[in-house]
Amino acid sequence: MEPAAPILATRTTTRLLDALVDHSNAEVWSALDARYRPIIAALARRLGLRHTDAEEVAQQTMTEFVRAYRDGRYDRSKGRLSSWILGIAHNTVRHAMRDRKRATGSAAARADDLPDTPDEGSIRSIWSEERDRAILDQALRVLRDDSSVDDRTLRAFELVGLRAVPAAQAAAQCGMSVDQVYVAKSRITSRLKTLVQQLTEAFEEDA
Amino acid sequence: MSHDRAQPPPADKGDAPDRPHAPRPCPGHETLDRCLHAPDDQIPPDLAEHLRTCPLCAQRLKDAREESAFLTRIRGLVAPGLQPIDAPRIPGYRADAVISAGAQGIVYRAVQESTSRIVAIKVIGGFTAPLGSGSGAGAGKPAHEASPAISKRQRLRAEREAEIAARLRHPNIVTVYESRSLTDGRLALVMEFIEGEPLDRWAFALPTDLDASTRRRTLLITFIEVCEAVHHAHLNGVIHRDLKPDNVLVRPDGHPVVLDFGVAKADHVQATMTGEFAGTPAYASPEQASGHPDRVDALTDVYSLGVILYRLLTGHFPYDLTGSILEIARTITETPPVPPRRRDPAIPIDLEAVVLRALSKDKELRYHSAADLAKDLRRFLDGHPVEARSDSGWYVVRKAIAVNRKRLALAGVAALVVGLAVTAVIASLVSVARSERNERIQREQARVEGIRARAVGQLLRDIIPLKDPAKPEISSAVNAGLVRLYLRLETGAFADEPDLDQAVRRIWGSVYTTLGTGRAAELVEYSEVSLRNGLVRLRERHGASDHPDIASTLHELGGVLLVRSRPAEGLAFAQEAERMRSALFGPAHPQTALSRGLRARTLYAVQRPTEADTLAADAITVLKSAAGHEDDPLLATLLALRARIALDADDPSAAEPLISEAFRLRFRVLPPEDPDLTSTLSIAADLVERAPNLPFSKSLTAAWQTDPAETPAAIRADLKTLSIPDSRMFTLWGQAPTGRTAAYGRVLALHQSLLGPGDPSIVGTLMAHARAAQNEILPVIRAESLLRAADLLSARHGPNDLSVLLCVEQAGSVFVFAGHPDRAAEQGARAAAIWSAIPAHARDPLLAANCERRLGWYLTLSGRHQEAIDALDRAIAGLSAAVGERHYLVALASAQKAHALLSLGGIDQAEQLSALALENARAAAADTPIPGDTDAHIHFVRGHLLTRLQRFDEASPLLNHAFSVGYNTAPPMYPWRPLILRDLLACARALGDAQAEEGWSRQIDADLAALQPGAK
Repeated sequence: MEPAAPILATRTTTRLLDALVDHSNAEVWSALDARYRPIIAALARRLGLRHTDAEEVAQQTMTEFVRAYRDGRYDRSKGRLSSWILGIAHNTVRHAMRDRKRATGSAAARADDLPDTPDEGSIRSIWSEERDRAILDQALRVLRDDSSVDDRTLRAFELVGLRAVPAAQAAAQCGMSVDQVYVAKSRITSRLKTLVQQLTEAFEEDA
Repeated sequence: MSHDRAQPPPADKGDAPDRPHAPRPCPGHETLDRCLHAPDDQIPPDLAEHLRTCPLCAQRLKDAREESAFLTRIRGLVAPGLQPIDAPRIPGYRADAVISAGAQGIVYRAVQESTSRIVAIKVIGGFTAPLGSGSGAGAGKPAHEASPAISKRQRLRAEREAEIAARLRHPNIVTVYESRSLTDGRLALVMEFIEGEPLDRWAFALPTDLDASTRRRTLLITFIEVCEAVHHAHLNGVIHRDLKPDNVLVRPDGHPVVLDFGVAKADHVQATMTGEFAGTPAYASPEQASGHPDRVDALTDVYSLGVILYRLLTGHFPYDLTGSILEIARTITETPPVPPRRRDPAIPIDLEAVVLRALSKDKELRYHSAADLAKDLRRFLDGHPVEARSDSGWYVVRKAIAVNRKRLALAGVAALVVGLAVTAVIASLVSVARSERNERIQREQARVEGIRARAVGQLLRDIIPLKDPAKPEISSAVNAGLVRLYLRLETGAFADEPDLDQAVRRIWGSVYTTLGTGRAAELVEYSEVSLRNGLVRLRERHGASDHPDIASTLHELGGVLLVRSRPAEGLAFAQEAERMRSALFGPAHPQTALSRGLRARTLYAVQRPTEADTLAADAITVLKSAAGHEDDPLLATLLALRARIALDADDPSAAEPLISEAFRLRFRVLPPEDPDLTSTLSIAADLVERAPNLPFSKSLTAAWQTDPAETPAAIRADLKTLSIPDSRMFTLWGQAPTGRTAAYGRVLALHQSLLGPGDPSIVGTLMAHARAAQNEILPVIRAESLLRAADLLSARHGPNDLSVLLCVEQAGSVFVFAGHPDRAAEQGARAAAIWSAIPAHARDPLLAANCERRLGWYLTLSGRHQEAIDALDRAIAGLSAAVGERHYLVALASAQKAHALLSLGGIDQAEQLSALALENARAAAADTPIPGDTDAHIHFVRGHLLTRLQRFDEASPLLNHAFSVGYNTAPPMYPWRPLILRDLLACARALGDAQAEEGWSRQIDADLAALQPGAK
């Protein structure tokens, strides 16, 4: 993980946004990008795009978002930042799907003939699930890159905590006692919970 | 009780029955765990009691329940992207899924965190199945526990290969970003993540509505890209060793990407064959299957490509792969593959030949590179003859005809211009030369001197010039072979056999120096590098002592430097080579003489003519008396060199016998286009200038048919004409001739006067003459040269030899073209007679029947209609049997028969037959495109008939079509051109199209004017 990222990861979106107006602040841009890009890409994939197309959509969405933000098109009073980005993303996905249709020649798609995507509510719920997943991902990443957590402890946690492997089996696999496995699970779960909480706050504060 | 969560209390014994009446100890983690999801009233009473009294344990349970709820929630979220347990922890990357796990390692999908880029990480060294992927013995264990650590050697090798593979940059090879050593000793390769399907799955999932040939084409286009990628790796010294469809992913856009270069190791393959193999050996080559990893080289990959191609085309493997590993290995090394057409008869025979060639057990017979395989597939796609079938002369003829027929539509006839086929057939002899060369390589290797390059050069010269009237094709074939050889050399193909490696390097160098081909500058440069590398290795092996191999390499290097216009450097090598050979074999040995001759040439080039002359004279004496060197082109070179020195010294009478002898020798061994021959001509011009009355000068003057004073200028003018590369372009009708035919006519006269008119080497000059005449549209001259060549070939090889037949058939079609149908019919009958004299097993039924068809056509044109009908009936029967009734050639023969019938007055029969022919041609066109001239011919016959029947509105479109696809480019002398023009004019008149009428009248006038004597 890049050295600056953990700090920026927990910086609130609002503060990141304020710093974003400064064109030279690449660090902030990449923090925001790291925050939203995986969510957008995951959303796009779940709406049916291929991996590479989804990545493309995420890129376009982020570019469009920053351009609009710098142009002053984002009015905070009219809604949350995430809703705004979601709107851009949804639109970009629909265009990408139309382009794909056109490329495969399945229909003579026109600009006003955009493909149907799930309703607004479903999309919001996908978005929120993907946001949670992104947060968890980030938290797990911090844990994995934390050199103070040794490999065995982490493995024990992954087996018992994330894969619901019985403790005795995990103990055998990791060469630990059952008790040590439980201890590892508790310690890491607690770290993870804290991390998830911090990151969620950082995300949420963009009202 | 005092404990904290990190230090659990002395645990109870799990499920051991609690002791009655004693206070319960604090429960262990497992006991508490069982209570996590239980409602309070279902907790065992003593535990419930304990929890009521022990606030710490109560808190533990509460925390554990919260923890459990949190984990349950996140499990749902994290599952799809869960980092696999055994995924390496590589800083900067997060593995989130196992893509594949195999004997060579595990591939993970991962995210590069700084860029969010998806990558694939392959972990090599030690096999461990990831969790959930199986229950093998090693499942779940860390790699270093599950299998013995890879040896240091293996590791170094893996690292080195990975490093090389990482440098490969090709759109069809997966990009390796970096390699990292892991703390557990494994190696991780970080590479591009390819979204795609394995090649076979992609192929089998191609849309079912594609017709077979489109599907095949799609497959081949993608497969060719795979071959090119593999070739690129080979050029960089990387051999894949484990090519299989799983290692080729096809992206959604249809472009393939080859994975795992430099990852698969020879050691692995060997392990495979000793029986511990986890995958399928189906794609292994015979050399791998027979347990010879040392014989694995680029050709191993070519074989695996062959298996892949076989599987893509047929859906099967080339052999039955059931049985034990040992049985499978035996099958791969011994059993010939089931011909693909037996699996699927719709596979074209050429494609089958390509697949089978790639699958040759003998490496020598396989394609020499993946690029060659790709090239042949492309030839197949383009409808050209594939090299895989080049062993069959007849096959090449047929293909050459098929391909060139379209091109020859320019002449407006359905002629089979076999002259082009002659070159193709002869080109196939190159492969013979090549295999004989290999034989020589092996034979000579046993000798003290190793392989002598000269022998090979000599062999090439022996075989090629006499049989081959078309040097350019041969040169390019030889060049291509040499480039392949170079690539194999430098990719270490012979690294394990240093003697062979050295020998091949020298041969390679010698072909360019002794064949006198100074044109391919780039190749000569390769040659120099290759020889210098070889020299370094030889010095390492033999130290500073004299050695025949070192002498040979020095010699060739001297020759290459001379060709590269660096004679001063070359001189030093030549001198050392001569000294060494003299010390090793004695001063009068032919090897020594060859080096002496080379020294003479370099000395002349550095302007030391006197010494050069002495040395050349000495070398000539030795070579003339040495068996096998009588025809050495070097001898001719040295003679010409001495003649040049004598002329420089103003001594023409000394030069004369030398130059005359040099010519004799060169005519015998070199084709007339060879630059060596033309350079000798320039010395000849100088001789005539200085001494016009010497006998050889008089021969030259006679051949040039000029005044002696003008001969030198005339020779020099011809030299200029002859040195223009033969562009093989047709001179357009009416364009001024280039004078090339006339120049070759004079060379021919000289050739005959020096060697006598019956000398077989004259064939080469005759063919050059004929070709020049073809290019200048001098058909009668061309046909006559062909017939003279046929006579010489007949005298040498017998009257029914293939070479005679080709010349005769070609002459026949040329006579028609020239407006001499009688002479054409004569040659057509001769060709048909040769065909019937060829034993059935060697006779190509298609070509034989087509020869009858042509004869029928010539006879029609000569007005011998009944004979024509007989010949055409035989042709129709033969062609129908050979290619089926629906083939366009059958339609063509039917149309021609209709024409003959019409001439005999059988208009009704002709009407029916011409209609049928047209219908069949149209049906055939749905399968295969019909050559323009054939199409024109069939339309013309029908149009002509309808015109006769005054059905002008039907005739007009057919005639217009025929004219536009064929007859518009026919020369005015072509017999049917006036016919079609007349018919078109009649139609235009009858239909009242004044504009067309005027146009056709003008065209007829122009043709008539062109046919006036002296018009061209």
